[in-house]
Amino acid sequence: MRKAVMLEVRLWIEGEDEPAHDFVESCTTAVREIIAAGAARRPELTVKVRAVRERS
Amino acid sequence: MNWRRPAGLSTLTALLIIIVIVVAVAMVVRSSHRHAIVGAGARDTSSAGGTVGSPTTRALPPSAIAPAPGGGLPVVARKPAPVSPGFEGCPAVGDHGDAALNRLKNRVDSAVWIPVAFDSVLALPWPSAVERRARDRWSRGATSQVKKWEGLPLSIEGYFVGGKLEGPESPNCHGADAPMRDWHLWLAAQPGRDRRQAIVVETTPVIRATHPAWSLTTVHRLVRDSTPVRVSGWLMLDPEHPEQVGKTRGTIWEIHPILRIEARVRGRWVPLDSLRQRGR
Repeated sequence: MRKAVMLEVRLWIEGEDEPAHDFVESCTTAVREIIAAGAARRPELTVKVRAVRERS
Repeated sequence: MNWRRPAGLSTLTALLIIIVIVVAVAMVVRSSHRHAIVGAGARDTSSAGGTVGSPTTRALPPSAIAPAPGGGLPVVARKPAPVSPGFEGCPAVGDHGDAALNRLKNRVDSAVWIPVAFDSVLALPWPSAVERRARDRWSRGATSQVKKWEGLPLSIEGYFVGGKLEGPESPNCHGADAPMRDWHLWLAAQPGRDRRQAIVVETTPVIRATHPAWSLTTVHRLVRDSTPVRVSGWLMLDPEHPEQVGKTRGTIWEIHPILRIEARVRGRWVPLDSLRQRGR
């Protein structure tokens, strides 16, 4: 049986950055890369990132 | 060049004259430096609670303020331009998002606050077209409607019905530490815990830096004790959370930033700074 689920994942990301540098943009990119890298460990699943946005 | 001592002047006298001259020069330099700080730096003369990061406290001329009919908000023809110097390396526009909104949130200038009724802000409408939109995407008409009221220096009486440390946000460059985050406070017409008809009023890091005695513990005590409070600051529309209206706020109009907080204690208004010092 083919299954699918839409998951919402809430992440807290903390790190050093220059004050004026766009932390949201760099973290968004980082999260996409982390998920892409981790998805390779579960080849039986197809993982697509639909949206990454800041929770305000 | 030879420096010759005038005839009859002893070494001790000459030394005293030099000391007097040095002291006088130092006083003049110090005096001019202090003026430079007041001119470019910060002082809120309207509060006993200490200085705030404002270049000037500007009074609007009475002729510029027209009271609205029916007890609404006053109409001010020309409102002061926000002064937003940035804080701790974080520019006024923040690190992401709506630059114009962040600049308003980060303003530091003070004013002579205009007392208005709580309901005049709660009942103030806003164009739905601005909701969840950055200011650079607003229509001219919508911008005009908001600008009519936004930037009014207001003072509102009510009761705190809640207060919390806000999360990391773009106007504060996503600073993670508590001093770099806003305080999200709820002001209501009646004491209690009901936030549905509350006005969100926020303190910002740059303003709190000049009020080290402010604390959320004191705010929570004011909530618990149903102490009347008076909040003074700039009227600003935050279009980001219209979905909260009727749930955790009564309007998306905010007092943001707050420049002054006072509590009614034994019949008189006392700055929040003093409450902490007195250990109430």
